[in-house]
Amino acid sequence: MSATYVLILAVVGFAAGTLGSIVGLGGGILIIPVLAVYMGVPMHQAIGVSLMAVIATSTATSSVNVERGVTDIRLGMTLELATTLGAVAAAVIAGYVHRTTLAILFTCFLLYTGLSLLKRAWQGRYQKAESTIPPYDVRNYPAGMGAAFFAGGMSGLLGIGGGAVKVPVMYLFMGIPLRVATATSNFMIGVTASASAFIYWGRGDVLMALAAPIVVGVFAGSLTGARLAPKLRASYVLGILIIVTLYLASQMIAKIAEGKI
Amino acid sequence: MSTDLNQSAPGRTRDTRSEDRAVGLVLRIGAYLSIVLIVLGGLVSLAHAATGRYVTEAGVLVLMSTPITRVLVAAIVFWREGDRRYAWISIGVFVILIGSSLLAALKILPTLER
Repeated sequence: MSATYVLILAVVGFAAGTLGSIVGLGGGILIIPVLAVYMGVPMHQAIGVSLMAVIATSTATSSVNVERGVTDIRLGMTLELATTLGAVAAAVIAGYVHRTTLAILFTCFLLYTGLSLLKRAWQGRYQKAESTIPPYDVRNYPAGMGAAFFAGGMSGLLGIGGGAVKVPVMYLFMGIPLRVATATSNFMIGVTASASAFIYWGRGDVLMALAAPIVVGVFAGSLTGARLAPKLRASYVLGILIIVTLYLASQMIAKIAEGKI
Repeated sequence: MSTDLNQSAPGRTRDTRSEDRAVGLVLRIGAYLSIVLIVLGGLVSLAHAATGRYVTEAGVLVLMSTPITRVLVAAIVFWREGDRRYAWISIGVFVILIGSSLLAALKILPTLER
């Protein structure tokens, strides 16, 4: 593999790690379409590599968040019972799913993410993030476990973190403050992704040559993002992400229409 | 921050800091160890391609097994604190992860044509 190729992969990982850690997304949403559309990586292997990036994001951000006490480890561990089961089941099923079907499902999720970011940018003009954590009681575990199982399944099938599913459910239905919900979701996606990463790895869908440079980029990007986050206007970053996700979705649709994915 | 959270959150009377510290340490070691091995592997491969690839792959494997390690460490810390409920929950997650890696290692997963 050429040095240029390694460099491009590291830059993709860096961008995904930076944008992801600022906005609270796993990097998969950017890494998979870039690999599939521009580098001709088959969907299953793009997902396998993305799972490694998700583990890297979770490990890097959680090592900081956990010691700050923002992460609810007990809540996270409980929900992980459901996310890992969903992830393993979906990862096994993914082996039987045609790559084009996976590409279509992923594109739907990409569009959904782009539109929900757009909604968040629109509403975000009026709300401020909590600076201190208000007291809370965890309630409605059944809804949380159901959402966690579903999020785990999305992770195992599409190689994403699944925070887009878990965070709103924890925040709206379980009574968890947004900061704790986001940090706990970031904490959980590493274990969830590793549950399905083993299956992808066993099938030969985790390509080391692709994973290594991307992981290095994601680590560097997550740390940079964490440093930059307080200094940046989140709305600018949201704006960039909205444009990028919607553009990548259009590229995915074009490739699917050409029958090249 | 951790103390504030304990005081302000009802139903959380136990000291949560020891597992925060233990889990944070595992995550930090996993992150640094894997990144060092991957970068080192890249440098070594400039001189000796095969050796470099082994070191890099070891780094990716360390990353892949960091989550499972933090689940195990959390189970041990919960158990020693006498918090059996969360120790068992952690053991449950650990068993699922071991089951997943066994499914992969046994090569009993068929794949369809893609």
